[in-house]
Amino acid sequence: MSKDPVYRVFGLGGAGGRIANAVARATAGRLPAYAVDCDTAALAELPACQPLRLDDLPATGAGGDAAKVTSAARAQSERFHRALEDVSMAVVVAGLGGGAGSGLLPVLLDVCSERNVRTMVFLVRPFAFEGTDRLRAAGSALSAVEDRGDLRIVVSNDELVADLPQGATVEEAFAAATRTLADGVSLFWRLGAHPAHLALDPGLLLSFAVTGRGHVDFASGVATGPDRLSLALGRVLEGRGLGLSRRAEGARAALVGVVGGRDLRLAEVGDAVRNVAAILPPGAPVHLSAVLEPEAEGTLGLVVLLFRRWATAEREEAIENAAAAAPADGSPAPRHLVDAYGRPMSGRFDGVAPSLGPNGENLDDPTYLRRNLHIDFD
Amino acid sequence: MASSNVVSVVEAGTSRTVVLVGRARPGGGPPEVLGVGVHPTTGMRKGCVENANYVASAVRKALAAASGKDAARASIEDVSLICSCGDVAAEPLRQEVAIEGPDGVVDENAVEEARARLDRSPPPEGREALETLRLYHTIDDAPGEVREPVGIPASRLVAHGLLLHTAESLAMRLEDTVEEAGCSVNDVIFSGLAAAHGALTPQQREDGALCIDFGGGTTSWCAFANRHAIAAGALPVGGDHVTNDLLSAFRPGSRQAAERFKLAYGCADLRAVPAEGRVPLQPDGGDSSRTVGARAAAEVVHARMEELVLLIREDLKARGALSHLGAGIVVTGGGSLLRGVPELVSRVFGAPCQRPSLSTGRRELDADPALFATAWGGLRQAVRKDLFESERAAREGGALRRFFGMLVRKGGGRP
Repeated sequence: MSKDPVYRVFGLGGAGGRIANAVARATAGRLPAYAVDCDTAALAELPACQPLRLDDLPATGAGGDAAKVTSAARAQSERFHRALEDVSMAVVVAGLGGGAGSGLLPVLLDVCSERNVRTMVFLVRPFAFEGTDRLRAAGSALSAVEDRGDLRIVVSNDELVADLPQGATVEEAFAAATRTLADGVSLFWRLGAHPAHLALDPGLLLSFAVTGRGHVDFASGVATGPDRLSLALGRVLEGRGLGLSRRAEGARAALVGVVGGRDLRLAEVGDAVRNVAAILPPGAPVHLSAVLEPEAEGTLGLVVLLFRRWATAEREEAIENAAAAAPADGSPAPRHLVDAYGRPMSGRFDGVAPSLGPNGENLDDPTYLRRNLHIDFD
Repeated sequence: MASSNVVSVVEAGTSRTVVLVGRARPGGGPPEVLGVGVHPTTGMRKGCVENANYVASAVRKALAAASGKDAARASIEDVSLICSCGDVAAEPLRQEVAIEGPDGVVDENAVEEARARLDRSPPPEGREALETLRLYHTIDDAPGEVREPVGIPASRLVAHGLLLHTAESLAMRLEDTVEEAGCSVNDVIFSGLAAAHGALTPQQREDGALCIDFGGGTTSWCAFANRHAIAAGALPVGGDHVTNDLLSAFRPGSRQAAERFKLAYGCADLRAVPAEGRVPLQPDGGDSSRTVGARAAAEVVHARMEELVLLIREDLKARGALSHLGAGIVVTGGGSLLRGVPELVSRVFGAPCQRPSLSTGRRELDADPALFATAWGGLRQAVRKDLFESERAAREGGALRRFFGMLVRKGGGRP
């Protein structure tokens, strides 16, 4: 029996729900989305999503108490089981730093794991201006799901809106962050949604979740006009926030997706692949998917995933065996030192027991990365 | 303990090893420094031994440098070891002794018993006691501390202390490694406490002050009030982390280049760095074409240092020590020499902050007070302890002589 894989989007908490709603709208409902929250008013503002409201929590919101949300969600995990029936891959979107998104995340990922549902997890860190408490809470939430989920993409709101003009308002910044991520998620889904010459085989996408399991860097861009490829490439590779060329060191493989109309030129697809391949270490494979959509006439959408890990089945087993070999003296197992984007932090502290902060974050990782500080490196 | 009253301390740090040899001055006051030895340490990360041979070699060379004088050479076998182990926490101790007997006053036995109970206080599970500090006494439920409790009528004597503990095996491994260098470790001193004794004046310790020792692999701290240590701790985060962050952010070519860049242009105080301006990544005449924004470099350094100082502040706040720092803060260690550190610390704590000044009588120590405050403080503690032990031995010796004298008199042996 061969069935097409079934995808679902799960937006957790306020920010996750807004992004899921935008994805459902952008895909005209063809990619169904759940919004999971305890805030009744917030759920009511997400008409494109199917609401999944947690009981036993105040209808006005979680009040930033992630532990309370986790506890309530575990008691109602049967509802996640029902929502995941027949689902092959869950695209999970959560904003970190508050209560609902951070609290729901480990429970949903555990249920996915139990049901053997592959996961692609988009985690959004708060803006730097939201304060150190929320940034710390986000760090703590990230640590809690470090070993959960398959493909894990961590971005910050600051990165999502880095290309906005200086005078942008707070409202514009939040809206742009939601839109940027929703565009990326829907572009990604569209790669496998239509049969086409170069469409992504849905089965292959599911296998990526195993082969590339772990942190993934992600960027997307949509452009129009005669220079649309250059514009899209500029945003994906050199964008101030999510630009991948600064993160390509150590990448093991890439997926390049191009979405265009019937006017999409072969040379554009070829140039997109060549430009991405140029930033990768030698020998890293590049997988291509290109799809044509009549409604995309005149535009070119580009989505790129950089995988930090690309393991064959044999290597997978070896990695898991090595990970299981914890120190016999009971000290914390040395963790792979990676930054928020999955890049290994080679250096003086690689391979030693991590210096853990009060929230469980690894203090050996550079502070500016953990805090997602926007530093002008140019 | 060295019978000659010459004592040695070994500060085995992640970046360098310092040995001081000294002795008490006949007229009292700070000890006389007889020998100084310094050697770069390799084989340690975050205050923990990684390669015992390398660490032992550094200790051996520092010991050899310190024992240049004959007076120093005699005592180099027994040392006090100053270490932070990267992971130190402090727990307040409280031990009671019931005062019995017909007169109901505190006697020397009760004081000794209370002290002994403090010393026997076990560390939390999975931790190893590093040092037990005996602080002060209180009587019954009276709030004030009593300096000399002997002779005071009471029903209970309460001894207060502070237990410094670390992860099991860390201090032991460092001790073993130092002993591999050919000396015997007779005492372990927490580096945060040593730095406080070296850098804080008696008045600051009385009025309430904090000393933060920014080392290469660890940062340790100790707060004082009313002359006593009230809180202490250490984190396995230090100047090496700043270097690592700069290496990650700007890729200057090597760790050594990142270290040089940190020393030349690192700044923990963002307000001291203009928004414009660029600085070379290789300040020592390397590739001059690679430059970075001075502000960007400062932001990377500031992020790390501010996080570290905030963690210390949180720890002190949780222990109720913040309100006792009226005399301000003194910063020591190589990391404190980074530009802007006192300003950052001052802003985070809302209190004045300064680097230390030393008056040891040795020019090489006084010229670099931030780098030698810890070893100097350790030497002062070791000398004080040596004096205390000597005096006690003399007292006990005197008591024994009196006891045997009495026996002789009762036996009629004397005419």
